This record gives sequence, C-alpha cells and structure tokens, in this order.
Amino acid sequence: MNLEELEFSISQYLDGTLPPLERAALEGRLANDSQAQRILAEQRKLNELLASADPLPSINWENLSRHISRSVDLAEAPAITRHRIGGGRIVMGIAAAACVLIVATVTTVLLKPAPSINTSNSDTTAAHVQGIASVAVLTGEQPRGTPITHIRVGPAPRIASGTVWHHSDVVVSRPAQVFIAKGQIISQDTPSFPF
Amino acid sequence: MEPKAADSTDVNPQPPSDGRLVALVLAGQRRSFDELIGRYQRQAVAVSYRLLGNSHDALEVTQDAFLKAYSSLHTLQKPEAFGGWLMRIVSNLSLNFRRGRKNRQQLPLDDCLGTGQGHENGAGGSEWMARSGDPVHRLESEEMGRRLQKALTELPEKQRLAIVMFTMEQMSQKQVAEALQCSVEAVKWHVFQGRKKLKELMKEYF
Repeated sequence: MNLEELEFSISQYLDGTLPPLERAALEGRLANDSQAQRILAEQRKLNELLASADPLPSINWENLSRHISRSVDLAEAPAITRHRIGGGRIVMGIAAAACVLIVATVTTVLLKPAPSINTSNSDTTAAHVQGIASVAVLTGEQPRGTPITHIRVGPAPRIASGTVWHHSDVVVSRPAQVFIAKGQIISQDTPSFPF
Repeated sequence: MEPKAADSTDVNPQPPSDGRLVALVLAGQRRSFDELIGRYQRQAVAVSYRLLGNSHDALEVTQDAFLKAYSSLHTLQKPEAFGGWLMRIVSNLSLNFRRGRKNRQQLPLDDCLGTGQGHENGAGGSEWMARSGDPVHRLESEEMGRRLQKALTELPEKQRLAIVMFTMEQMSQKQVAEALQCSVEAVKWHVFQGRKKLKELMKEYF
C-alpha cells in the first residue's frame, strides 16, 4: 500500500465507510505505524475544523418555509403527469382505422344491388348485366335473302345450357365489319380460356 | 353514539416518503410540497451558505431552488431521490449565483434572518465561527472561518461540493452521489482529494 492508498483508507476509516476487512487491516497497522498515526491525527483535526464550522446564522425557519411556500403558490404549477402514447402506436392506430374504413367502403359498394334495367319497350330485349346501366337490342329488323352460313353469337350450346357458367346474350356493341375466316368448327368459340 | 373522530389520530403513522410526497404534488396536492420544503430547507440553506458565504444570497438561492424544483418536478426521474436532486439544483444555482442576476421576482426574505445576524463582515466575508463571546477567540474563529471559506473556494467544484455536503452537512454518500451525478466511490474519492487539498491550503493550522 503506497502513501496515497494509506491516506485514502484512513479517510474512509474516519468516515466509517471502509469495508470491514480493510478496516481490520488498517487498525492493525495504526497500532504500530507512526506514519499512519500521524495521517490519522491530521485528518481528524481537519474533520473537527470542518465540523466545528457552524456557519448557519440564526434563521427563522418557519418564516422561510412560509415565504417559499408563498413563492411556489405564485409560480406555475408543475406539469401534470400524462400517459403518453408512443409515436409508433399513434401511426399504427391511424393505419388500422384507415384499413377499417377502406374495408367498410369496399364491402358497401360490392353488396350494393345492381340497378334494374329499364324494359318498358316491348321490342327491346333486356338483360341484367352487372356494371352496365342499360342494354337494348333491336330485334324487329330481320335480314332478307337466303343465309350463306349461320353464325351463332354467344356461348357454345353446352356452356349455354349449363349452370356453372353464366353468360349474357345481350350484344353490348356491334362491330362495323365482321371477317369470317376459314377453319374447323369447334365446340367452343374461343380456343382457350382467356384467364 | 358517534364514533370518536380522534380515534384515527391515535395511530402514529410513518411520515410519507419523499417519493410519496412528490407523487402527491404531481397529482395536484400542492400542500405536499410544503412538507418537502420543511424537510429540506435547512440543508438547502446550509449548502448554499457554505458555497456562497452569505446568508442573504443563500436564502435567495434556496427560495429559487425550491421554485425550480417545483416547476420541474415532473422531470425528476427517481422521486425517492428528491433530496439529492434538490441539492444538485441548490449547488448549481449557488455556483452560478454570481455569474448572473436572476430575472425572477423575489419575495423579500429579511424577516427570515434572526436579529443581529445576516450582515456580512465585508465583501466576500464570512459569518462562520463568529459566535464566541470571548473577543480573542472570536477573532481567531473569524479568521479561521475566512481561511476555510477561501480554501474551499479554491477546491475544484466536485471536491468542494463533496466536502460541503458530506463532511460538513453530513449528507449520506448516496445523496451526495445523486447531487453530484456520480458514483458513491467517486464521492469518497472527491472527499478524500478535497481534504488533502484543504490540508495543504490550511497547513498553518496543522
């Protein structure tokens, strides 16, 4: 133990903060070591000097606490404790609310019944086609002469009679020209499913 | 027959802890702060006085410190450590006291000082150890008080605060550690180093 370590140990010894083992060792040394005894005496004297310095003038503590209390009354109140919600939670909450709103809107639109099609004209064939406000096909005008070939517009007979596939016989638009290519007759009018 | 209201006062309950009082103040019970004032005003005045050597300034700083503590109580991380936290405010305000005058309106504190006390003996003088009835002893005490005050001001800040709070004011090392925002071991070291320097500065008394 060097001199500074000895002084530090004695300082703690006087303060009563030296661990028990070190305390026992120091007391053993103090019994025989004159240098340790001198340091102890000097530190004791300094402590006495500091302790004897009673600096406080006579103070009316009651008046002081009343003064301070009055000052505090005039001061602003401390901030009220609030439970803060983290920024992440706020964002997540807003996102969840937005999701619920979107789902509700989409559901409402999808479940809304399709508008009925006006069928007041007896010469008009009407069909319910979702998404199309009204479809009308004129059936009064018939072609004249002998047909060269018969072209059926619509689904294949097998599909048309089925319950799985749904179709509409309504012509949505009429092309200006129709090209008839040479080929084999197949049961289905499209070579493959478009989807 | 109505039950005696005084029955409940027969029990002597433990005084509320600092943490409890802080919680009550934050919950809106302003009067709980008065209890904290009562608990710590003496310690606050003593620490400030030993750092400033002037009772008027010490009282002003103490009042300021309590105001500051009250207005920023919600920032106190550990309510149980109110004492150490308050002493940190007191020491910071004391050390900054001479650097700038405060803007806050102060209530006069003259009636807080006892008669015949509170007047300083010269600029930067001290009232320390000037109570003896014996004139010779009184002069010696005054001289020693001045020397000690001067020596303290020459110590590095942490050592000075550690000596004032721990050795002179008998605050616990834990409380001093909270005030100085350091470990208990560091407090021991600051106290030791402070004593060493004080001994050198006042060697004619040893």
